[in-house]
Amino acid sequence: MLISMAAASNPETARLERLADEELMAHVDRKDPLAFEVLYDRHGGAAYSLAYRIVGDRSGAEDVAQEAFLSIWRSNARFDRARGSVRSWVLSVVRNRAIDSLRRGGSRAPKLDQDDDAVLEARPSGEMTEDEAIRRETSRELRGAIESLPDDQSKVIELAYFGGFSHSEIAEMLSMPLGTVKGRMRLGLEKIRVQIAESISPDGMLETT
Amino acid sequence: MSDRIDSNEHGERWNPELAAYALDALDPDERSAVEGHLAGCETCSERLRWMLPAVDVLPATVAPQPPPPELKARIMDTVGREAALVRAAEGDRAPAVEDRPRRGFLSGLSLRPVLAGLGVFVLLAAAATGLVLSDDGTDTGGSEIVYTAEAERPSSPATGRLEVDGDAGMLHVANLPPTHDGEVYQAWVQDKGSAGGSVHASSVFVVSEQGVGDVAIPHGLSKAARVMVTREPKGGSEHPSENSLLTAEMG
Ligand SMILES: [Zn+2]
Repeated sequence: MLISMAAASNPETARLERLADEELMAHVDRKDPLAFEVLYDRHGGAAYSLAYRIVGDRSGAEDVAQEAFLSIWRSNARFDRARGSVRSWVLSVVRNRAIDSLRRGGSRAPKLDQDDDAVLEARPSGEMTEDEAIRRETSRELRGAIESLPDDQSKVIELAYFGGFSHSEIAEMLSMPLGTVKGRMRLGLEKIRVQIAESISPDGMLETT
Repeated sequence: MSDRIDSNEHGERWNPELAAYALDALDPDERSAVEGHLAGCETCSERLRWMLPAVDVLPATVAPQPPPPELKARIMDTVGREAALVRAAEGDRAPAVEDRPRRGFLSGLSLRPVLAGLGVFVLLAAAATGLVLSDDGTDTGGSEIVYTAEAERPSSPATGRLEVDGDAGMLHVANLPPTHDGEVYQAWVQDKGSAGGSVHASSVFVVSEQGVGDVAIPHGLSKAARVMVTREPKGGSEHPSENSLLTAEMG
């Protein structure tokens, strides 16, 4: 494994680490494994966390994260600047893979009330890097933003985004009229959008206002 | 902005669709309808762009989970091997390829129906030989000539190496995207000829998860100008159904 020798002491890695994500992607496109490693170090944690949230088990989450990163490496998934930040794009690749894997497995049990904090509380905080601590705080605040939505709005959003259910499946699941689900998605997303514009700025994700 | 849009009928009609679209919660026909509408409606396109950050923020609501270190090790192991393959293929320059119009054939491919009508394409090896995955170390002896295969699309990382021994050869490919169900890759051999020689169907093959594969070209190489690779329906095709993804020019 020649790559793991690339510690931060490597001057090339140190140079890559100073690049913005978009610049880093240019190196990844040229098949630079060191650049790819920096990309992984930046977003691998969020990618794995999202995959875990969606598929619900560690080995499934690992498979999804691995598939997603390798498809990015092989340029099967192309970064589209117009669509947002590199991080959002990486996570959308992960989300798509995770939902595919749920559908392939045929077991899509809605996981709505997962106590995400419990998993982390079990970890001594001394093991957390500063970055992790910030992300954890951000995730708390954002979860607050979503939890402050009326239940019927947050539920449809979570079922769609983390469960991969279509609006018609959700309507059936929650015995709602067709049309109502979309309306709630719209109200919920609009509220989240207004809240993030007002208060939170999670690591460069919000370029539009 | 939102108030102005919300207040009108257009917004009432489309904003819920856009929200469901942003959340990837539409059925396929509805999704196409929204995409069709977005193509011609700047108001809705702008509205969607405004809305998307609310979706992008959803992953950040997930509690961070520390990824297992083996995950990175596995990913970087594959990445390291594939990067080495790419470098190797880049270092392996083909024997002097003259400056000649290699794009010529590509435009020929897009004229396929016409050419097919003229009987230019000949089915040779009925998508037969299948493929050898993994390196089985073909010992081609001393008379072998090696050519580099290059991706036709600048954005594609695909690379390859064609080893020719007499009339037969072996094409090694790397970084081809995995095929979908019901799809295979197929090699094509084009004869030398002033106006672009006949194109013959050769072997079909698949690639490993890493995008790597080896395919035997059983014959036709002694009078060939180039070997090309396209994606085809399972079983292979008589005529290429797309422009070449990867081409080995035989100078
Ligand atoms: Zn519109």
